[in-house]
Amino acid sequence: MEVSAFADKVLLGRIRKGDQKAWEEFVGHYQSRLFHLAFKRIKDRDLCDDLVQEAFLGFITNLDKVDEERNYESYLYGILQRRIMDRLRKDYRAPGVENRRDSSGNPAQIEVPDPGTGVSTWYRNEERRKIENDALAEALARIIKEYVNSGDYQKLKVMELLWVKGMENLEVSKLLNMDNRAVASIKHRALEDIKTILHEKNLSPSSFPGL
Amino acid sequence: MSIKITNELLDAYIDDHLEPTLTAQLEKLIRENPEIHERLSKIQQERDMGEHSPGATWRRERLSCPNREELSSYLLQALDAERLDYIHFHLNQVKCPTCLANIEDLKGNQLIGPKRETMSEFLRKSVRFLPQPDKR
Repeated sequence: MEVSAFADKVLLGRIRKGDQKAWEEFVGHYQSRLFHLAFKRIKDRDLCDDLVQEAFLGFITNLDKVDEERNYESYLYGILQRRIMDRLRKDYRAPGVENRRDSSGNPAQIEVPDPGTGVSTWYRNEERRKIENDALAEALARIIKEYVNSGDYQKLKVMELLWVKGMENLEVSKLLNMDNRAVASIKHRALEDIKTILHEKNLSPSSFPGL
Repeated sequence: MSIKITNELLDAYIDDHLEPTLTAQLEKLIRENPEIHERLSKIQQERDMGEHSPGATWRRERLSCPNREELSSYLLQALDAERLDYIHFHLNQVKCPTCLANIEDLKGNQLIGPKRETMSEFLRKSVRFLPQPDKR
């Protein structure tokens, strides 16, 4: 465990015991970077302050759901990003569509289901979800670690563009100045490695879209 | 510019991980094309049912994000060339929003940031949500 991750874990332990100083330290530690994350999408300082506070409130009122073995900075960012998306869908439009209006003259909305609020959320056993989620995260972390440890950053770049940015093979090959077949081969190998790891854990790849 | 609408792209859109111009183009297409809207809804339903795509998991867990110390070293150019090149790619090509926010914070941009008095007020009010300290 890295030093910062260990310090975070200790801090979280103190917050869970109701330590106000620890909470102040935590807020002080993350408030600025959270603000910058919000400000990149919403150029309204007061609104960004509100969203950051909502993210902290979301965190503190769901302390029991925070897994201290995981990077809870990601959890905090996740809460804020959902708040930002909610706000953008309500009040803002991305550049190019911000002036669209509906028949009543109100800003046009896109009906994108709100992440995590569907009725079907309850269909799957929560524990099962966690096992699958952890297994996929571990499999991905393993292949990323292998790329980094072997200095094979080109493969990491390929997979990051394909999966994180959602680009197609041809686009990636052009961007990284590579043969399209080499991109396809890297993707194929990564998929096989992940499926192998999931099989080792007795999980079916069919539960994972995109595999 | 024509966009190839992959499921991974729609997945990244749901996570707000695309650049604003691409987001705008995609939103227009979603609005105008029922087939794309249908695909987007299907991906969201899969997520609701607990099915996880590699991209969604990678983004959520920030699996390839440099840590804060590395980002500080990146600003000082105090890493080996390969790592510097990768972090440059992660920031400028992937445009990872959380790492970019961290970089802004590390640069110490004092002109833009949370208002001190607002956060003090928030802290004062939020302590009531803390678990009660163990009095034993």
